[in-house]
Amino acid sequence: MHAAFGCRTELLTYARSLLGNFAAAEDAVQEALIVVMNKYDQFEEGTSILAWCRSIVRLEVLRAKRRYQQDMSLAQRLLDDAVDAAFDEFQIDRKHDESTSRRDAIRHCLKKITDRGRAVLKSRFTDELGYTQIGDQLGMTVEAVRKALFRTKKQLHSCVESRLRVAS
Amino acid sequence: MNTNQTRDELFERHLQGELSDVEKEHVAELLDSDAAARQQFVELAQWDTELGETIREHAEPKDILQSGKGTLERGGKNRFLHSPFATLVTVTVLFIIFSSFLYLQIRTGFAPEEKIVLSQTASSPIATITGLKGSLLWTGNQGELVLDMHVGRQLTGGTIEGLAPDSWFELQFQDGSIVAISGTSMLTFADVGQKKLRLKQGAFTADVVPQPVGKPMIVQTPSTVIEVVGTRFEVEALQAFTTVNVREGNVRLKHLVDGNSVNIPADYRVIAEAGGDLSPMPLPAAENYWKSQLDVQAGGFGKWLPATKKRPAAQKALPLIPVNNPNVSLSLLSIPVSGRSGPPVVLTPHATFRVRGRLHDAAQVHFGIAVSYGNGEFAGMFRGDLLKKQPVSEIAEEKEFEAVYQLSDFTVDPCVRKKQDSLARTPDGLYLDRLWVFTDTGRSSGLMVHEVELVPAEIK
Repeated sequence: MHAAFGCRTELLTYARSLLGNFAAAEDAVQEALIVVMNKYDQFEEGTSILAWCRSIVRLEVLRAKRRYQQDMSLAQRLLDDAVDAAFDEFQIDRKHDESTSRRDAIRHCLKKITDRGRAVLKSRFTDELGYTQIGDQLGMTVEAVRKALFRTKKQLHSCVESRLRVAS
Repeated sequence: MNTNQTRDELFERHLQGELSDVEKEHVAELLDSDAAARQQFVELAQWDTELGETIREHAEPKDILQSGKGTLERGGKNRFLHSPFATLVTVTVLFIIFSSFLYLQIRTGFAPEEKIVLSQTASSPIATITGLKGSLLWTGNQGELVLDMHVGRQLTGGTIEGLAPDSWFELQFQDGSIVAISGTSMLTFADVGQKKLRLKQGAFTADVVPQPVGKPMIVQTPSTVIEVVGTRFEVEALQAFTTVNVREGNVRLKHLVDGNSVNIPADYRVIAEAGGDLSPMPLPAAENYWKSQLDVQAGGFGKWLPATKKRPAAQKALPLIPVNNPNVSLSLLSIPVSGRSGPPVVLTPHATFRVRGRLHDAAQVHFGIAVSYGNGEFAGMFRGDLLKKQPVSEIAEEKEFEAVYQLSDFTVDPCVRKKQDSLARTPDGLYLDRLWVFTDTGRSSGLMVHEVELVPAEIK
């Protein structure tokens, strides 16, 4: 059971990739983890806990899509299927220690970026704003927002990777 | 910007739910065709989510992102937010919103959380549901959404959408005219003295009583406008073309691409497509042998994949949760049969269906068909796998399988058993409209079908 809850970020990543919304993905994973608790006796030891939990999240995601009447156009269905296959193939289950180290590294690196970079990240992740809305809020052009977001994430990624390399 | 950066940005916008339909299709194609892109996508999604989670966790109350200088207070807009004038404006706006809300509650009993599933509308009913099955969604003219539909329910104008290949819906207008949609179809309808319908996609049949003089029923598809005075006919609308089969009376069809019009008499059909001939052709004689032609886009439900060096063209299954069984996740595809440019297909006793395709792993492959009577009226749905005479489909080295279903083993689809008195009891002698194939393994089974063949007993 502990292992299932340890996959939370991986499951959130998967749900977010299908729902395109952080808050809705958090709700879906929350619901899924309740199902995981209730059905844990059905998990077959020796198989992938991440894949098993993902199949439960998948049902919750589809329920959420229906609940919110989210777009289920053909294009969306095709994309969901392709995303599903990509996660089946490439998603790996990180060990708890590794996840904690990464999170610590992110916190450390966030303190090193510019004020503007931080403001853009906050608008994007906490407020879930689009480029235009961020631009309106921060007095930036859409292009400047796009560049700032891309550059800040890249800087953070480099910072986190190098910090993890040093630590290991 | 290099390819990886462009992809990263596209993937990042996908994670925020910001892609257009065209971009979604592009990303789907990219992921389907390129393993490196799939890996890049999953890694980016993982990194983006870890970053987002860390930021969101610390957003309140002690914000990890707040610098000592107060980033957001540097701009003029943010200074405005703290001015006395802004406070006054905010209080006024809140008062107006609150008053409006209170007024709405008192006048209409409207509560925000009920907006999604309103059962009553201000408009008068114009039609009654006379038959339905499968997953359907009705959106009324007032924007209300209704998933809980039942026979006898009266509807105002709106849009009815079949969400699954086995969806079917029949509606009777106040004057007795009957229209029905089947499969993944979308039909918008209204009747304000003149019936106006728009078939955005899918298959539609109609039995129309004589309409008032000067007010024919109007049916619009993406490429045509059809005027109906009183007749029985079928329409299949795809983005590229519209097929109209007329069984009784006649209809007038106008092709929107070039503005040409044509009258279609009984027992004739027109296939309206860009650059095509609009002359009515006699409805072709029925045939008993049929083979899918998936080398061209098939329509139906699923993703059409063109042929590659390694495999023939195929229809790939997509995930689907049945409305009446939300704990099940199917991988499902459907292929339309009759109603296209080919002749209608009639099922003969002891005929056999052969389904060839691919699966990731061995699985039970389920198979169903929808049939109609000679006049185009819906006749029922049948399943070829319920007697469990079909073994689990084993896969060969290339992950290919072949499943065979004998028509004599077909039983009534459980979804239509309640309506069985008014539907056919066996599929023998009926017209094959469409078929669907699915697995129920709880995850993506990789099901795709290269070919379906209907072989009558005399050929076997």
